[in-house]
Amino acid sequence: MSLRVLVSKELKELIREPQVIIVMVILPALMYGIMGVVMKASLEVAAEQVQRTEMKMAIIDNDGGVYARLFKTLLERLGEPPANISRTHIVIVNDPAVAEVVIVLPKGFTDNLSKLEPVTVVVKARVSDISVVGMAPLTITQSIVEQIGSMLASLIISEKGVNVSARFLHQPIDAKTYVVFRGVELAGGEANMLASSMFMLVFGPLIVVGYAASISAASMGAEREEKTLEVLLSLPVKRSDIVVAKLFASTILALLGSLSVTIGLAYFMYSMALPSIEVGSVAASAVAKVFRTIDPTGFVFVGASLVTTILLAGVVGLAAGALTQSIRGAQSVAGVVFFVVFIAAFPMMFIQLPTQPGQILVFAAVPFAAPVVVLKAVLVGNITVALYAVAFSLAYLAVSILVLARMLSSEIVITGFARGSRGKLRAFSR
Amino acid sequence: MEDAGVVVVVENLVKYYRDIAALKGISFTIEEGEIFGLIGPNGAGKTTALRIVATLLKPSGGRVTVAGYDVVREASVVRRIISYLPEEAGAYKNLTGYEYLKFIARIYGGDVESMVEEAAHVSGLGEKLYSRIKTYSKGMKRRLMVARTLMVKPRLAILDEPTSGIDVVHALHVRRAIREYARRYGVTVLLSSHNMLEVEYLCDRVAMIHEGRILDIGSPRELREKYGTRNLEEVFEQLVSSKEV
Repeated sequence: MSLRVLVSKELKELIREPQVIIVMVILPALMYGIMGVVMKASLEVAAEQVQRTEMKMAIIDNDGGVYARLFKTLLERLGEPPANISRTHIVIVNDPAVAEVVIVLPKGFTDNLSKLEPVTVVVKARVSDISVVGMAPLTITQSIVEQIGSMLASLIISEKGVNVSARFLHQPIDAKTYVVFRGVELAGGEANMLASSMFMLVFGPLIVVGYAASISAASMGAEREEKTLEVLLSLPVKRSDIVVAKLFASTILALLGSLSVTIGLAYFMYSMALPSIEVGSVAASAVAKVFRTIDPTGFVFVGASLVTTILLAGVVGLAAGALTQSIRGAQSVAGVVFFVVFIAAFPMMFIQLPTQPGQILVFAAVPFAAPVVVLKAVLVGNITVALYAVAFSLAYLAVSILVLARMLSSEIVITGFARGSRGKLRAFSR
Repeated sequence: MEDAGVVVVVENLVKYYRDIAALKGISFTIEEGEIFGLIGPNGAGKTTALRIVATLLKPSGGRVTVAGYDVVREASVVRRIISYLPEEAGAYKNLTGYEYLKFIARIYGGDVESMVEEAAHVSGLGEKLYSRIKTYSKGMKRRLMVARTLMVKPRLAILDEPTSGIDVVHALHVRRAIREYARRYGVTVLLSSHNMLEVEYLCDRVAMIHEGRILDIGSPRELREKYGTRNLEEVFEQLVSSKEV
């Protein structure tokens, strides 16, 4: 009996808490809905960008045999959209220097195929970005080479008979891939490792941003919960100093927290996947190769974007904390802030940087996305986008500090939101 | 221009929370070094009035000045000369009492060590001052808070229910400290209480406040004599019943 009474009390207490309903019921439904819309839209944009209209390709024929010539003919035919799956118009050029992709057919190409033995061609793609879209020239070419291989295999089998090896049947033409990015030549595997590392390089800062929002929200929530806010606001200190002090402390803690997560994660990876050390060293070497080509100014931009975004998330966290009554409430709201940060920044990883001035502005103006945008911009050498993104981030930070300082000067932080019910108001109208 | 020696001027102060009037045009002045009490039941408007004087709330009408400075337009100047103790004031639980006092003293500036020393005496916390505040009882926290409010020797100390949660012995100690700061350092005190006996002991003058209006102002003795009662509780009872009739 007493258990039933206790359960009934617990349920009433929880259900009548607006934060519980909002955080547990309404927000998840909204969040996943919004996430679906944003991800769908960003993937559609990425897919559109992948479906390029034209790609210049050169063939270096070191063989000169009949199948090498046939390869070239099939390539020209497949280059006509919509013959190839990417619907990209392949333009064959003679000068490899102006081509985005160069296919090198090795000596013995025809001989090997005639003997029903697999051959390996070299594919070198010059890419502008290490992302799904940026790597498109390589992936498109790989798929085309695969298609041509199947066609040639069918032709050869029909000419020579069916006595072929499984290996030949599976992959008559293999592509050894290379990517040239910022003048650095990387093997295809290295490039893929680099792309994965870029993902982590972007994801790491997002964790710091989330921590900053959470810690600062808790800091302000604690002022309310511990009833220290009224005294703090009556002290002879500027409201903006209160905001900046809390931001500074929250940022230091967020960085420490992130460092701890990184160390823990590194240990986890080390202990769980020893064989991946080699993989990790390949990725690290690829990252190092590319990063060596970046101008030091680029790193300054990356740092500036990260710091401003962490501070911005901190300010939003403080505002969330100031409007709630407790640490728990503040952290619940901060969770939502982190989700917003994630939603803003995550799609940017898939989308290629725009080149039109209007699009650049829109891209750079997305709040909280600056670290991702700037990292991508610096990697592709587009300093204009990086500059705009840092400028927008700084502007958002300045405005948000002013708004929060004003908010702390207003009555809302003391009285909460008046509800119009006399009973509620009496609590603070003594 | 305010009268010389007048520290607080409250003129026709009105405060609305949306459509509910918490203060309906109250007026009073407080002289330098005076201990002035706002007394009334819960919901009378005491805390609202104190928060406005402490620059935390903005009046809906009327005017408040502290030492000639407007609490709305010159809030930052006012904050330099006041020290406010809310009714439900907490302290940072992970600091020690000593660290907390030092933090407040450094904000106000001046002789930090001497301020902290005085506060240590007023609080009567002894060695406990060096323990974290989260280990304090409710009464110990309140004594610490009263001490930190007084130690900066403000022009105006605003104390909302200063002895709330403090036992009889320590409440007496705190009341003595408040009187001493007013007499020795000329600190003007505006306090609120619903403990009429405390107010009678402490205050030079009191304002009886009920439902956002001041019913009468005077020294405890004047009020008792005027209404022919033995104590302020009976004065208040008479005032409220005459208003209701």
